[in-house]
Amino acid sequence: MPAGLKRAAGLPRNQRNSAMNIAQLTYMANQIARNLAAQGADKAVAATAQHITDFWDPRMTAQLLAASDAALDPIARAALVRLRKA
Amino acid sequence: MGYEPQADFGTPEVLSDTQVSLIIDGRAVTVPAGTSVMRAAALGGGKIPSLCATDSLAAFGSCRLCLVEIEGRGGTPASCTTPVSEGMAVRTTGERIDRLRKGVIELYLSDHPADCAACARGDCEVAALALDLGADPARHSGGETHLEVPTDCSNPYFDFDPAACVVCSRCVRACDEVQGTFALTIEGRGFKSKVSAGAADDSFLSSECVSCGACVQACPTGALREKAVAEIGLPTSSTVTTCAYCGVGCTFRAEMKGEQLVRMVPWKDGKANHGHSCVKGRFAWGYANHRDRILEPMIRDSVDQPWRVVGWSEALAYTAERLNTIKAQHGARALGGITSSRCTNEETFLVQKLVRAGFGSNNVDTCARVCHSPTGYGLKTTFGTSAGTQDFDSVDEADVILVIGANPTDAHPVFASRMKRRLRKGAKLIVIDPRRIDLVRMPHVEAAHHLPLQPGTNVAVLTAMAHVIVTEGLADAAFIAERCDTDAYADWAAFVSEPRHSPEVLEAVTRVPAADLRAAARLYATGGPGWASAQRKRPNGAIYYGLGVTEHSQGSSTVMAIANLAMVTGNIGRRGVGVNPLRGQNNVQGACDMGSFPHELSGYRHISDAATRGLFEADWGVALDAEPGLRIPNMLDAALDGSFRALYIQGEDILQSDPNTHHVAAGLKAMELVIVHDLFLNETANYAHVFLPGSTFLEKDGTFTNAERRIQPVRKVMQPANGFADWEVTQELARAMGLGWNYAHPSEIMDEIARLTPTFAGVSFAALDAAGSLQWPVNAAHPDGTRIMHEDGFVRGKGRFVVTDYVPTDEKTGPRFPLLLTTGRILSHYNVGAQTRRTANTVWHPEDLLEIHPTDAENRGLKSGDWVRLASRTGETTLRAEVTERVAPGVVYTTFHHPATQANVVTTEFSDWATNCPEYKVTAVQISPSNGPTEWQEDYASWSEKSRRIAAEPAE
Repeated sequence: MPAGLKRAAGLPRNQRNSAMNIAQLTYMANQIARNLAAQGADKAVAATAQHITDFWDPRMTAQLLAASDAALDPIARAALVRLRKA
Repeated sequence: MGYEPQADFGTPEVLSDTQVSLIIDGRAVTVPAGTSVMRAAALGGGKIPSLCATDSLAAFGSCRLCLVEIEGRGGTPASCTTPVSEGMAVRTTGERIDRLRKGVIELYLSDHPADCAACARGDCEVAALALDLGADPARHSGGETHLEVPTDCSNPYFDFDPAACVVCSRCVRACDEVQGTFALTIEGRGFKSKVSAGAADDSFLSSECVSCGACVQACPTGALREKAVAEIGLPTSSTVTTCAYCGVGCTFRAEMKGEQLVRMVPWKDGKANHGHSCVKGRFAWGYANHRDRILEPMIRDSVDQPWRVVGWSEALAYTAERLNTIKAQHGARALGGITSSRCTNEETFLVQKLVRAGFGSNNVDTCARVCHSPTGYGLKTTFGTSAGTQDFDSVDEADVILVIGANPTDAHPVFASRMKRRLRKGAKLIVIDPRRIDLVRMPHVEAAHHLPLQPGTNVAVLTAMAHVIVTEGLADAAFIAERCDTDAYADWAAFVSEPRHSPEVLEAVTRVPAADLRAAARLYATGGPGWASAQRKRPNGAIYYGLGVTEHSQGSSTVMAIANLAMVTGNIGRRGVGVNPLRGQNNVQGACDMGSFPHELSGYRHISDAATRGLFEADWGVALDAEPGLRIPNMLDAALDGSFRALYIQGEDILQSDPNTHHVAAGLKAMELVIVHDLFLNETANYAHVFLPGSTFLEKDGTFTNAERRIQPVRKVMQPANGFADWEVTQELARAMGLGWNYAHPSEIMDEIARLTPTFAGVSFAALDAAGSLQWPVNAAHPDGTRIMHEDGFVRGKGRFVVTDYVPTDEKTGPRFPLLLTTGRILSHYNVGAQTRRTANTVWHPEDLLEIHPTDAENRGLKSGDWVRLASRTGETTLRAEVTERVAPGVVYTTFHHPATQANVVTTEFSDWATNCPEYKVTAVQISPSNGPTEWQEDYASWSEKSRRIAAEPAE
């Protein structure tokens, strides 16, 4: 195995990966929200929730719903509240 | 089909509403007004001899062989330059004409080699004419000749033998008129005239020649001939098929001698290429029989073991057993597949069917994820369907052409030649690109505006253009009122009109001078000063875009911003206009159409739609998962999480082509089972447990769909060297897993696609054979297909303007990484280079180079040819520098064709907000002088060698 890869996979797999994955999913949700924000908050929340429903594998949504929403932007957070209810 | 060259009517087709009737050699002929006598005669069945005329080029009138007599006119005019007129009576043979022609051909023969190989092969028009006319080769012998001039063998695919040349200028004109490169010229005058590539001391290889083959195609003698013809001999049969390189989808005659391919000759009746080609499609097919091709299946339990060669049945049984075991242990959603944009529609459809119906998950994706997935999202949202709006011919009627984030002369060369031809006729060009691509200024083409924007600011530039159009009152109000959702338009117009979206304010981020941007916006909307009064209609504005649009954090937003611009100016729904994504891979359009995305079934229908799903469930006899599956980057993340464990990859090399190589490698390594189905042991195969040999496009039947939505036949011209076409391999794997598939031929798969996909309802192999090609939608409303979309209304009903806010990428330059890296392609190579690196195309581009502006180079003490360390937050690599002003200061550029460079080691995981299409086009980097390859490159090279080991003896 190349040294570069070894460095990349340095952390124990499970510990590293779920933390990394939550960070990644949070980033993605915020990015969707930021790009839809110009529509105005109400529409953006609905559109963000719909986007996640339409394009995310359910395990991704479930992981994000199970994690802390502290790092989420307000629109993304509101969208997830909506998804949790759904 | 036996071998015969395609008919040549001497001069190009003329379109006219007026028909003219004349008499040629006593036969009545009716042709469109403006047609030449030569063409009229050929259409009437009596071809007139000539050397300098061919129907791909304007008449030239130089060889003096096509002389005819016309009743009531004196002399013997050249038929190629004489237009027909009503009632004209023409004689194409006769004592006087034959004598004149014989005299001319005898003069040609006096300077033609007696031992000409092409003449001997029957591959020289001079020899054929001499024979026909009974010419005496010795009549003028003994004079001065050009027979001692040496042959130019510098091009790897064809030779130029000046001794056999008759200086008819066909090659020079083909280079000018068809290809538009202007690399060839006639040097000298009179007896000294000779065909010359580039300057006096240039060879074909060192000249500007792009090796498109148009000159070889045009040459009437053996002066310009494929090396393969000299080596193998003339073909004995030919079959029309479709090129497997880019999304232009050129059709070729595969000319064969037995089962050996002699040459690929562009098909004149091909509607995408009209008889033109590029260096890849015409010449770079040698990979098909390259010694690196793997022809037998191989398996191994772990990737640090050598490969074990096994028989097909063992490989398939092993794979199916492991897939079924993983499914039983971890559930269907732990399995997935990647369909290939290189394979046929039928093969792609089968792979997604295997995943959905066999694996039982929707974890299917395709390489479009990393190129045009934002096109899918953006055009579906605004127009209602995910496809380019035009055919390629439409460019002939464009008045203003806007090229953004595309480099057609390198990546879509055959279409670029069409575009250049239109530009030479006076259409105006706007280029929006961080690099000064060739189109900005090349022979007889010059952009009216080049906006060299900062990478990552496409949305800002397009919003600023919209600002100018709306605030200066240049919008097409009638079109918007009739065709678009007016509420959405009002919201959008208010948004773009805000002062913060003016070119002046945005100049700070885009670095495009506001005055230039305003002028470009006005040109696109109005055709420039004087247009409206002169033409009394709006100009046809056509937008062409590529991966410089999609491969960004805001790729989908940019696509929608482009759609907005086209709608606000009324440039949708007729010829000469439109939104035209230039597709990267030969079948990326098809792969998307076939339901390769995890959230949708074929024809862009969402998986959550119960009615559509029900249709498939009834046809396939299984229940389908109603929720979207994982996309490629999500699969890699989920693999690291442990919830995704097995992946079947057909014809894609994600390790080399996807961003952040370390992350891809870690994801693949975390999987229990990686199945690579490919021609070669590609980079991804270094992490695979099963290798299933693939077949080339020459070895199977099927269809590809090009960037025009054109479905074209791919026809088998030789047996698969690996034993099976790719659709057969997928079918056998499905059967090994217990699925009762029983397709006898790809046409049956297409029948299933047509049955389940409304836009393909009228498609079948028989219909394609009859029509040559069909552009979808093909259905009851459009039985002959659809050249232009949204003619009588948008697919979604009303066109929808979408507010696209500029959100800067999070990939930022700073003190540690002050430069922006952007990536792209070069003409001679294709994508990860798996095919082209295994051909002589490497003479043009043996390695990836880093383009650096002179200022940035000087600051770092770098010269062209120096090794440069290229580092980003993600990783680092080294490659050689090329100092050039093509890139702006602060921007560097490279290609990703060579695995030794691994440009994607440095690209990041940032991606499009809507589709996760990676942001290949923007990476903050630093560059510095270096002594050679990095530790990663050396490690990777040794790892790669190790993981490609194949056990010497197959285990018993």
